[in-house]
Amino acid sequence: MKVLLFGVLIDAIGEKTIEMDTSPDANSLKENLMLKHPILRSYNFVIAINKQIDYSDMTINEGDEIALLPPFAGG
Amino acid sequence: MISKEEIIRYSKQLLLPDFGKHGQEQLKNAKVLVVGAGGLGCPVLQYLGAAGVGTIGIIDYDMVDITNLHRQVLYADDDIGKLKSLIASEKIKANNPFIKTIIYNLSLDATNAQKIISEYGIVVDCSDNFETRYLINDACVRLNKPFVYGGIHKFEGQLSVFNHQMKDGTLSPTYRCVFPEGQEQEMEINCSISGVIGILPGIIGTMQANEVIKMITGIGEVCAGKLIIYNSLYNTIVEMKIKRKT
Repeated sequence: MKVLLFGVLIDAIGEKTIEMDTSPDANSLKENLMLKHPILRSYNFVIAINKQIDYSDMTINEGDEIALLPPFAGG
Repeated sequence: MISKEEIIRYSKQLLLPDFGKHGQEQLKNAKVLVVGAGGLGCPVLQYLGAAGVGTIGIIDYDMVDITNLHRQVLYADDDIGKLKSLIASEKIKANNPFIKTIIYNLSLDATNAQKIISEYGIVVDCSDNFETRYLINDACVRLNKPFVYGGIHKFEGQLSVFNHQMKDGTLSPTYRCVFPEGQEQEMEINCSISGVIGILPGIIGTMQANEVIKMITGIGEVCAGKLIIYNSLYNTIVEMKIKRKT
């Protein structure tokens, strides 16, 4: 499963996308992300599934578009 | 009422049928607060001033630094060491003497945010740190004011209009609805640290000013209920749907 990164998360990981094993829902994806990339624990970000920000542990299906969105401080 | 001189000054935007004299009067009667007169704030101030927004509040306590000049295009070499709020006010009034500015040479904080924001109809968040962004959010939610968020990181920019009254009467999501304050050790990286080409805040700031004009005049569709992410390297715009948390 391909996960798109934005902003500071690209700097943290060094890639614009990361490959993850399929997770059944947003919460388990977040847990798996933290295990595989512990540096993400230092960042505030939200998960978007098919361009919809996750609010309620949304289900993830094969082929869904996943993105990790941090807020941008700069102005 | 707008004067004959103003009708000539704004004649090219008055030509737009959806905008017209009524739109111009709405701009003249509007009060907009711009928090931060930096990379985002400069284009916001320039375009809102030139368009004829009647009262513009400018909050910034910083002074112009030589490293600002590549992106904060309101300021000139001669302005180095001078107060941004003061110079920005002078520059936009030099462009358009029909507008009024109110200068706040201070840092927005919990002791003054509510009092200052209560004086305005719309707030534009051009700040460069998370603390101020949450402060603006919370004060605007308490006071029932909409605010236009812009943020940048390297070659990417974010835009959304938060706490905006939608056509069905509901309020659009807030900054906290999208980005709840994390428990993590926050990595706050602003332009001074991560680097930026001046054009990106120019683009995002101009988009913020455009949202303000639409909100005041009621034309078009406000960028509320969604978070836009623009990438200046690839000219891509991604639109994420967001919801209001109750």
